Amino acid sequence: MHVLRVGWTYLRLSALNELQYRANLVVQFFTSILALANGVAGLALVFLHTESLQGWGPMELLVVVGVYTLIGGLIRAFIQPNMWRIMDGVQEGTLDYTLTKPADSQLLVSVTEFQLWKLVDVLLGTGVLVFAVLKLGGTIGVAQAGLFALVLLCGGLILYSLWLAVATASFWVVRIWSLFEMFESMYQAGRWPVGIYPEWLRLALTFIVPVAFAVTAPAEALTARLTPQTLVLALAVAAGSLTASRLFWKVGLRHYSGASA
Amino acid sequence: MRRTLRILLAEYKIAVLATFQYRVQMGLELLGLLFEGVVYLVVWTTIARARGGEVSGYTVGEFAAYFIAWTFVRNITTGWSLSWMEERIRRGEFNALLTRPIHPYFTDMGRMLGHKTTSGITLIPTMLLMALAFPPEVTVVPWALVAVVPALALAFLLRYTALYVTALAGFWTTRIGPVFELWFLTEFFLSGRVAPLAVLPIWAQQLASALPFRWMFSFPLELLLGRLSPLQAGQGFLMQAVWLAVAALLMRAIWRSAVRQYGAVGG
Repeated sequence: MHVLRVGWTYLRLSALNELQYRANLVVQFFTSILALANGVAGLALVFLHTESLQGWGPMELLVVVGVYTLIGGLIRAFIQPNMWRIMDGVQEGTLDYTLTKPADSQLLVSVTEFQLWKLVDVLLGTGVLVFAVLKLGGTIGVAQAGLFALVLLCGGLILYSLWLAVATASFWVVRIWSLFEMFESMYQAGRWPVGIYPEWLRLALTFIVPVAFAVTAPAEALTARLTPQTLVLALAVAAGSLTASRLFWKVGLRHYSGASA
Repeated sequence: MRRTLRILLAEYKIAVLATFQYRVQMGLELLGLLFEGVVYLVVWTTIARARGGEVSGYTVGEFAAYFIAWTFVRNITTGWSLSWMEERIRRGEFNALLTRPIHPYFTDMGRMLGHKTTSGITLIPTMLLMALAFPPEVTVVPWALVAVVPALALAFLLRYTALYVTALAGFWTTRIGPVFELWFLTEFFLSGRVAPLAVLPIWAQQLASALPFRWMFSFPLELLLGRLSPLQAGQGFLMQAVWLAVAALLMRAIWRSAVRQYGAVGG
């Protein structure tokens, strides 16, 4: 309970801070629309030449674009700013202030910053999802929606663990910005269902940069393609990576000597 | 002119040495670049296979060749990231640059070329790996291989100058983000980055040829793959020269008022 309250307080503070800068909302909206236009134009180009890509029709791929936008927004609003802060903190020594607080350190570093306006992507992504699902003509039952939410949550947790692990690595190697950049460019592969990639790449996109769980699996849940195996695997990997990143964070902390020491 | 070249060369050397210090970082950046190409390559070869091996005159192997060469041309034609330029203007780092007797356009270019040299060296093995994973199909046209050298140089100059001009907008508004995102979106499709221009609808292809976009990326690629006739190549060079002249004139015109407009931070 205490954990939730601390997290909530931090979120509210960041939100209030962001609310001061209203003009940023307009800029963010413009940026998000352009990014979405990019994805949609890419799809239009592909479907100029074919009816389906590895069995995925236009509206089904639009579902993938929707999930991609949605998850991307969540990452940029909640995960990315905090993880960047950890690295900055290690480099500049400001992390020490956080570590000396009495609450759980992993919780604190994960909730310090929240970029409210990035949620525009979450809204747009959801809009695209609703549009595509309606166009598909299928009715989404409560069960299917629940399944989608569950898989989406797993994907989010897996991505969070991965980011945390990379940020933790900055206790040993300070300069890892480019690692983040590489992950971001690999995440772009999520615009398309991972099934189209060759075997070796698909493995990388499942276990190194978990695009398969984060984007493809939720999209599969909405288009009635999700196999029980994928679901079980997503749950297992989410639980596993959450535990592993927690342990890694603890080891990192023990190794970390602080900036002034 | 000689002095400018000397300074450019000095900046070049510094950049080569500096980037060699961060080999891991460079490798990771390259992986990112490589990855982008691989994604497009997979999408287009999937379509080509589904359609019996060809899309708009490109076979599966030719798509592979296109996107392998793509990584090389991309490395040559990347300009400074506009967010970095924006940052420099906002933080007032331009103050120091403006007091120097040489235009930052040239010093920046020297550094840029230095980066490209080091990343170009690491790019060669990665391209070979890519060729192993996706066997390319190449038609070698000897004269075109020679012509590709000036085409690449002009493509680099054109894109570099165009990006520099766009970045100058930062002197008026320190938020150039939205401006360049619009530019990038257009460029993405019209320069041959997401796919060879041949797969675009005809109207988009005509637009790409009339605007500078085709000439700053796709043109050297098309030459390299032997898809152009000597006449088309000549027209291409002409277009490159015209657009480069336009960009350079714009640069001169905008630079003067931009500097006057510049409210130095702390000044």
